[in-house]
Amino acid sequence: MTLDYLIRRSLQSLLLILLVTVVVFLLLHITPGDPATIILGEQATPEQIADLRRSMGLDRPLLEQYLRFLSNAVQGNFGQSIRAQRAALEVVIERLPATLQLTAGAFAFAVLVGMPIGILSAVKRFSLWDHGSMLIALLAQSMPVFWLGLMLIVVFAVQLRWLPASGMGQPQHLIIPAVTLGTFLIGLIIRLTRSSMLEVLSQEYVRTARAKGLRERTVLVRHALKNALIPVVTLLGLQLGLLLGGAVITETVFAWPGMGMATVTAIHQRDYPVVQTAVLVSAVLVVGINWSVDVVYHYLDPRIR
Amino acid sequence: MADGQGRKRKERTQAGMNRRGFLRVAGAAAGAAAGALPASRAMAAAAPAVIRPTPELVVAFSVDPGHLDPRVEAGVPGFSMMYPHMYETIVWRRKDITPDASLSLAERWEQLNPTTLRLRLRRGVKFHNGEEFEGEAVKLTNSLFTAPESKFPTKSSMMVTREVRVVDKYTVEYLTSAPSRPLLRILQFQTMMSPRALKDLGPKIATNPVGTGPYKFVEYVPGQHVLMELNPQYWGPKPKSTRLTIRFIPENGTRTAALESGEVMMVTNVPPDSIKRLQANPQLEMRTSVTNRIMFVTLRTDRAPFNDKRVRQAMNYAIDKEAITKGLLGGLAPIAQGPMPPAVFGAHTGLRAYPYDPGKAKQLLAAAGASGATFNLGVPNGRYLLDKQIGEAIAGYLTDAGLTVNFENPTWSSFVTEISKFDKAKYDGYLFGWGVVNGEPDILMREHFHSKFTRRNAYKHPDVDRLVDEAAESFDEAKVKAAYFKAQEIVWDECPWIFLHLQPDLNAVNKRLQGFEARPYEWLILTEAYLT
Repeated sequence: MTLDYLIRRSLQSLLLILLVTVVVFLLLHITPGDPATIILGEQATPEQIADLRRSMGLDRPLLEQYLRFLSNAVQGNFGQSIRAQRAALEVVIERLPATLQLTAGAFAFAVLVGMPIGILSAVKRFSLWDHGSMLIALLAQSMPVFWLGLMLIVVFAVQLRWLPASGMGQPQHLIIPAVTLGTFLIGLIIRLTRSSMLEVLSQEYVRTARAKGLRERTVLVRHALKNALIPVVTLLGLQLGLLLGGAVITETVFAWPGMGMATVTAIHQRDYPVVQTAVLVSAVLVVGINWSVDVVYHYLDPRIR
Repeated sequence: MADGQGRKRKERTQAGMNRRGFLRVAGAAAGAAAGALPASRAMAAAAPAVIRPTPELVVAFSVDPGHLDPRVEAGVPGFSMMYPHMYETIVWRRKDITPDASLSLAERWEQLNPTTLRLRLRRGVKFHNGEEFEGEAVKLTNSLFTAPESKFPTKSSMMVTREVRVVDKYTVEYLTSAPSRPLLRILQFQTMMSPRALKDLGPKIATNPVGTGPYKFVEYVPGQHVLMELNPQYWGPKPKSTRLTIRFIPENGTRTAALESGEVMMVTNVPPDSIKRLQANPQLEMRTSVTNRIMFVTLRTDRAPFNDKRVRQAMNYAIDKEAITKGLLGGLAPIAQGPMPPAVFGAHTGLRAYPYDPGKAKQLLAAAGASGATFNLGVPNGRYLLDKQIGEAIAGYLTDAGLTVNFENPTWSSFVTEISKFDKAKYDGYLFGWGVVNGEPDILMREHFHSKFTRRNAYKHPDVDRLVDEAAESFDEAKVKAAYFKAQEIVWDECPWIFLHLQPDLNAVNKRLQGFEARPYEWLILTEAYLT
């Protein structure tokens, strides 16, 4: 891996984050409504509104406001949460572990279920199993997270009473939300694992392995799977960002106290500093994940160097 | 530590499933999925692991207030968590919102003169940190609520207090700059906070409440729950449930599912379209109340043709309020029979709603030369119960009556920005709700009908101004009521509003929950609630 690549890739990421700060800053200005009026509520007098606009710096030129926002953000200062009366960054960061737990659960579920189905589909190509798993993949990708979540609650919490409907704390709280969030990814994994595996199985080195008289299992696991998984792993890395996005809906449906739910609550409560911080933290996470995937991939696969 | 372990154990019981139970369920599920067991057998195998609620009380609200600081706006859910569970105000009220000394931290009060209210404090009351409740706490708390940096939503109403004088350890006097009869009811918002806790905790008190209430704060987990436990030192009747957990479940479907599955014993803000389904469940029932939140369309009385009383009356005749409340709100929202909700002090009970009379509406509009006039109607989307649908119905009825209605239905943030332009707002009228939580009508009457304050509708009537001032300054109850009655009669006739309905408070409970009833002031009081 060249240092040059690392530096170039890091600069790209930084530029992207800078662009995100512009968008996050503009959030306050492009969303409908005047922040000062919304914060003070319907009973405020015009004088109170003007005072708050002044103290929030909303009366200053846009560029000056942005530069001040950026300089504060670089120092980790995203302002005070209007609602919680604490630093906005603290309000967002304390919810990060819950989001990571949910994302990890969903990820594990998707990988553990999706990959074996995909591999078996490729091995038993055009069989009933293959058609069945393709149907599952299609359904998994087309079901809205929101609908699936509520359906699982109705079946497993209300009807069967096997699992809690919402909240966090015990391991069983994680099951329905993780399955809901992971289902979308399962579809992708099944399809990609299958096609990648099929491609590898048609390669000459696999034929050579079989010709050597190796057991089919060894051919599949030791020779084919290893190479077939490279694109799958790349995809998984990139999908982590998508999972974080999907977590916003899943967390809201299941009252899972993560960053996504905190963001939705902040949007409802017009807590702008928290919304801005949450969007920026999520963006940094996604950019960071993509950066890591690219760097690791660069290291693993000499062809893209 | 031991307490923490106990909690963990109990939470596990609440979820109803230990590891072994979980494995049993998982096994049964896997078996059923693989077709190894018929579904009925799989369910029978899982039956012992059914989630059972514990005797502790767990309820679910729709909103996480984000803090538990009485000095800052917390909305109905936040105030419901704090009062009177953990914090108490110096004056508390009966179910019908009448201030009652036997329920309050002030055990007696008297109006020494028009500008001095003397309160005798209850002895032996302690804050949860052991500090004794006395006069200095009252003085300090009042100064916090009225300080320039105070963000308390009804700070302006408390500004009437000039000074709190501590006469002795258990006697305080509120001195006002002008005679103020509403002060006693306004004090229902004045929370007593521990001076020592304020000093020790600083800003952290916002998430670590220390009050005098029947429940002590245990923990607040943002996005999850508030947990409280019985305060054994409490001066009044002890609550019936030893522990109270208020969970936050924002999604409507999930919240009602948590009630149906037995995880929680009560849910707030039931969506009207779920009521029938919940009522069909033999284990559940609705506990609703009519609140003091009156819904109306406020009209710009300074813009033609709405400056003509006949046009405004026509708009009241034009709308079939019964169809709206029955068709959209399941008959749970009574039609407003006056400008004040009936549970408010001084509400006129002799007025009757404008009947639905489209013929008369058209006639009045024609007489005023306003047939075909344009009416710009603003309705927020998602702020009040079914506001969009109600707004659409209103627009439809007004169009039928012959007005040309421009209907706008923006999000609350756009809406509130627009209406805060007051006389420059583009709306000729907008849908609005006004809650009178403390039962004191002074702010409602001033804000909407007293010419010095009516920025929203520019309504002016010298008699109403005089009567509202008179009612605020007089301590003679009969005289106050007479003044309010007269003012309401004028307003009812003049129609600066299209009077609509009273918003219901929609809660659903498991029938095992006893001792809870919804109140007209929207706050949810769980001190007497228990499970059978």
